[in-house]
Amino acid sequence: MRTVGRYFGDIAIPRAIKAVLWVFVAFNLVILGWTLLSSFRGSRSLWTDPLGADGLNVGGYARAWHAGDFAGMALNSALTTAASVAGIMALSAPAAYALARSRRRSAAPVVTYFAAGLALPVQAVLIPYQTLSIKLSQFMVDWVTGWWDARISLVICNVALSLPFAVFVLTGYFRSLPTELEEAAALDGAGSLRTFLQVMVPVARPGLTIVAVLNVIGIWNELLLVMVLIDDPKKQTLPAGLSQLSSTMQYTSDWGGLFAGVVILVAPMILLFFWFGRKIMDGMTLGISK
Amino acid sequence: MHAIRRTTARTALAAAIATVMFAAGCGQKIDGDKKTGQAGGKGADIGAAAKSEKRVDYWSTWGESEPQAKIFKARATAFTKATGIAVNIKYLGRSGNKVLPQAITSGNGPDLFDGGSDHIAADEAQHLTQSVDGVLKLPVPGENGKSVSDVLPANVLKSAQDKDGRLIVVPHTLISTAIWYDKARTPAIAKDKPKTWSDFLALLDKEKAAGKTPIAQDGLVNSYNVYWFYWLMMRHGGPGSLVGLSTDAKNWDSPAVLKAAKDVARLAKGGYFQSGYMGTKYPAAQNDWAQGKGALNINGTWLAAETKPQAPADAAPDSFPFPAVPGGHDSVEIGSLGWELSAKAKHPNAAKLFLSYLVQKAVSEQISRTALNIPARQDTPAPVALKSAQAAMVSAKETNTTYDGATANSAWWNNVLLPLDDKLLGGKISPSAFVAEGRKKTADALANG
Amino acid sequence: MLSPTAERTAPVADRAGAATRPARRRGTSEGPADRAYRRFMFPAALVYTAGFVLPSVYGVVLSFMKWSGPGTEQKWVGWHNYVRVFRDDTVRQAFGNTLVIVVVGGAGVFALAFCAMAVLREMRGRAFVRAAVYLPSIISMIAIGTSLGFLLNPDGVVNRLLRFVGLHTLERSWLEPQHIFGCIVLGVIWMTSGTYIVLLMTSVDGIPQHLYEEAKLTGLTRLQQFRHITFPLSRDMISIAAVLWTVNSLRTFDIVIGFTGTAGTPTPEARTYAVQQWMTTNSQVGIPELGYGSAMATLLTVLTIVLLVLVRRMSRSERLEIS
Repeated sequence: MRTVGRYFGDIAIPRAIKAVLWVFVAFNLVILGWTLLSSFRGSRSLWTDPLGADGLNVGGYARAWHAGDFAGMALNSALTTAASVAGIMALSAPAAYALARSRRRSAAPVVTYFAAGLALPVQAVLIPYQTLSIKLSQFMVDWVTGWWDARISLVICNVALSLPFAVFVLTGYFRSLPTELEEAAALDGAGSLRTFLQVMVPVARPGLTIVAVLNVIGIWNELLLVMVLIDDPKKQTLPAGLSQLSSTMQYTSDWGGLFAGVVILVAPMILLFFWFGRKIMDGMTLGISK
Repeated sequence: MHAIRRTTARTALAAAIATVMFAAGCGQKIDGDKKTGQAGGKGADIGAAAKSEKRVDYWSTWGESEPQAKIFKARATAFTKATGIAVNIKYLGRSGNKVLPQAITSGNGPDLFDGGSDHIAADEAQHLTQSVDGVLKLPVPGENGKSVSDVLPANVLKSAQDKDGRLIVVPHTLISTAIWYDKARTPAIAKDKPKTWSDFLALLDKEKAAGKTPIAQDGLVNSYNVYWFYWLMMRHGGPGSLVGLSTDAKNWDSPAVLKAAKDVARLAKGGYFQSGYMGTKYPAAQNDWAQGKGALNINGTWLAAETKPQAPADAAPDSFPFPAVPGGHDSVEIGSLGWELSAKAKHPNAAKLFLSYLVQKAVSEQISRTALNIPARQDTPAPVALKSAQAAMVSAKETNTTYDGATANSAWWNNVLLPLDDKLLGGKISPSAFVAEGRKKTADALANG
Repeated sequence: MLSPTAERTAPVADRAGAATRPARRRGTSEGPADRAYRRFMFPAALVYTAGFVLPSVYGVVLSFMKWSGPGTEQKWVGWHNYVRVFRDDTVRQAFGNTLVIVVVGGAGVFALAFCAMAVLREMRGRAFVRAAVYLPSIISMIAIGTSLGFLLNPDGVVNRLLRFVGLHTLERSWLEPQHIFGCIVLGVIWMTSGTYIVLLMTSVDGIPQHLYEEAKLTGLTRLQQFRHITFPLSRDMISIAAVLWTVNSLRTFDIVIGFTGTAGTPTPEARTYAVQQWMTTNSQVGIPELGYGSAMATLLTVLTIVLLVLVRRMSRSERLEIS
């Protein structure tokens, strides 16, 4: 009996579990590989024989790039993602630092206030955003700058929606850092801003990087806000471009082009993922496991 | 860059003339236009008013690279050349419908935007449009004094009107539903197109007996599945009978509903669709149809253009109208795509003048030739595959709009009719259960509105 | 179509309790953080309040209106929209589906994650496995939705493979109304379990190695090691993951659209609450019902909060039992 139990507990069941995990892994890799291969194939052959392979056909990329205006959209994606993440970091890092290290009484409720945002679904703000973004652009055009760009509205909304997560996680992170450095800087007479920028930011770089990378992935893939806030396709981002492409290319049955579009959208994130892979994984527990 | 410059220009303009004078001037122009409309409309009046407005803003939901967009852009250029009135086109893409309402009601919207007959009810409810009746009397430039109403068939104009008979859309393209086949793959159908429902069932049985799939159906698209019930309602109950189901639960008791449901159920029971049709994800079935794996497909008049890249080189898609039922109605579906005039248009006269240029034959010929669609003008022949459809539309005695206008109550459409119809076409419920549930759910939905 | 579920809300409201405890620090003089407190905290609080909290409040206000969007009249209707939500059969079905995803999908995700916790610690190629299971989480849903038809159509790859290995009887029309929801639940498990595996593994990594070595000496099998060491010592992280799962699975949206496509509307069998909400405000036909949609969104917020409290209670009471 005992050896049977031992056999199952030590060998059979763990092996079965490993097999399940490897099947899972293999499935993901096959899907990834198939998408990549399909992007190089002609539409009709892809449809009739989805598993086949026929030569290297980069026409799909050319069509996706032109028909979907992917060049402009890639630029929009890069710009809005960069601006949003810069905004998120610029706002959340100092706030998290202050909240983590201050002994003011309001610090605790303010952290809770930010954390409450995690429970708010995006659905709750979509309808208000639709109306408010128009009012904002009208207001800016009429009274302040004389012009407005919907991409700025998008960046503002991205920042606002991402702040709860960023502030919350970074607060936990700053709290976990040693306090000595900062106190030394204070003794040297450095101002708060200098202490933060020159002492805390370098120390906190790993945590800041991870929060930034997670936000890059989230905002890069963001579609709903783009559709709601940006009316001009020339100003939309890649996911919107792909969704547009998937309707027009579905209507024109250009599957090779569609898969090429998928690859164009996904490739930067895969690269980023492998680049920062390890950090992303660690980042998921930032401020939680601490 | 371009967009930024334009907005700056707009602000500058607004700042320069954001005065009472401007507002007063506008009001005068609109009044003046109304007068000319009532007086029978003299081209010269509107021409002068249009010129003083200097520009037209047109927001398009066509993709900039789509043939339609190119056709209209070319006409805009010609219009500017002829009149000196600038046309600013902004391409919103297909998702543009989301932003139009906000832009229009906030006063920052365009003068003209792309619309269609199936948007009329919703656009009016949101106060986005105004009547373009005034355009009807305008002469079409360069066509010997023919007016807009002379070149657009009466049936077409009817489809573009609201329920009070005011023209809301100036149409360029007609759309309808038909049953499609491929002359090259199934030449026998071409020789003997089924005229009646029993002819049609006989054809299905023949195809099935020959070991072929009679109908390819993208079952995951519920709005395609409902074509069958919708058309059988038009045949058995006539125009108004389908939309009637959404407004009063009692209308489900009409015998036509049960008859239509029974005919749909017969399709399901007959095994005429490809296996697993209710789980076929668009566009698998229509592509299979294009490649000859299914003999028939019920779809919009756009199907041939849509499946062209998947079809063999010798494909010759053709269509026939939905078959007739004994003692039923021969209604023809006419939907139209066209332009609508914004309720808050800043340059209404220039926009109307531009519309009269857009009705020119040069546009409708290109709609037929390069966009492969049915042009709205009766004097321009449709592409070969659609000629019979065009003829039916122009000569129809009885017409109905797309889906009989039943989509207006979207909650009912999405939550009551489409799910029930999926069950019926999927063979999951009996026709009588379909009627009973439809009556009950409609009553619930109306009580809970 | 990507979701409003967006993964952006990753970790966790849950830690609010822990995080709000002011850090105890040596010395009594004002630190730099105290002096800069307002300057540093205020901009973020302002943007968050103006950009997220106030629009949400505006959404709540709208939920008491009958409104079809700009240009139409806003009419105060009191609780009418909420009454409608509770009377609506389709909403009830969508809500039931959502709960199935939360419970059944959650069981699947956590079963997989526990499996991973049991073996991934010392498995060959573990870093690679971790990266590969996380892959679906970073690929946008539109990309995945595009391929689904190829896989799951009646004549798609899955059925062809089944036929190839001789399992004809298992062939299905996978996306048919009676099967599609099962496929969606599987899809949710496939797409999201990577996140939770990675999340829980980081906690496993923190368990001292010597505990396992001692366990081995006392003769515990690997499964027993999981039961007596890994699981109890990861309890905090598991309860955090449970909270995370609750928040995100309640908002399941884009995966449904990926499965059904955008050409029609999803069949009621496949709809989640978030999908149903989206349909009331973004229907391609007819007139949008923004007040009603806002009421549904508000109820989703309330439900999230209620479930969060419940999940917190459960994980807390469990801990009490054990200690």
